[in-house]
Amino acid sequence: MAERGAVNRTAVAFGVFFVLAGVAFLLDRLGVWDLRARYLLPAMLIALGAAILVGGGTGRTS
Amino acid sequence: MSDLPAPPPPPPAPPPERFHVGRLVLGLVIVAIGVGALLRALDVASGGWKVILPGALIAIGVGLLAAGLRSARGQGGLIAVGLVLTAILTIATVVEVPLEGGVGDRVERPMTFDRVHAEYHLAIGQLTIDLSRLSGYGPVPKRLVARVGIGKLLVVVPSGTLVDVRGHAGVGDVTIFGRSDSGIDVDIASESLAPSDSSIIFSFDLSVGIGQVEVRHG
Repeated sequence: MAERGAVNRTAVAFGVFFVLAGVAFLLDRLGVWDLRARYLLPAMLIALGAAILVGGGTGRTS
Repeated sequence: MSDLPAPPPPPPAPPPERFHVGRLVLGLVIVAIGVGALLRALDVASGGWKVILPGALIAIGVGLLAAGLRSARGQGGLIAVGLVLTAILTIATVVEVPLEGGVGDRVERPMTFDRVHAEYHLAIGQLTIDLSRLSGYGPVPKRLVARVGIGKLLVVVPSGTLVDVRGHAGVGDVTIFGRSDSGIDVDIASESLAPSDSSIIFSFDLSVGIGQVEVRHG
């Protein structure tokens, strides 16, 4: 059973990733900037990989 | 002293109810998506739909942050929903499938300059715009926009005419007067070969989400 008060690093890392990705998609939909596939796909892979690395890769908590 | 047995210990107090941030956010996101889809189906509001999915992704992120910082409990369901939403938004951004235009193979063959439309759309299939039999041209260049979501877009222009072309493919290949490129987010801008004293007849803006753009002389 997980302890209350501990931090789930995986959830936090994916939370940051989803917030940043959501803001990027929102600005694209609103026409503030134009997301280009040639930059979007590598950036998504980098961010996703970074989220997994920061999360510890195993889903365990700190 | 009494011989009565000792009373049984009181039952343990039930554990306090926990507040599930993940479930709350997941429920809100599903409700928001459902409301957006319903409003779109009812033609009440279509403009707000484009911000619902990115907004839902932001809400999931905020929910994960809140849940992750409060407790070490797993949030696998919310992470999975966020990943699916991210994939949908990424594909939608790359492909840009138009909602209008229908499905199937279509051939547009206008015979006069006035019958050439400013826009052509097809969701899935092959769209052929054959301008090779046009008789007469206008005094100013005509801008023509054509979009195909998934499939092929072929434009045939009359020989000896000068046209300005911009071709784009989200994923696929673009071939304009023999010049070709392929891959992700492909762009080619080109002009046709024509006599030096020619003026531009058409300005084409052509794109497919997934598939092929081809422009050639008839």
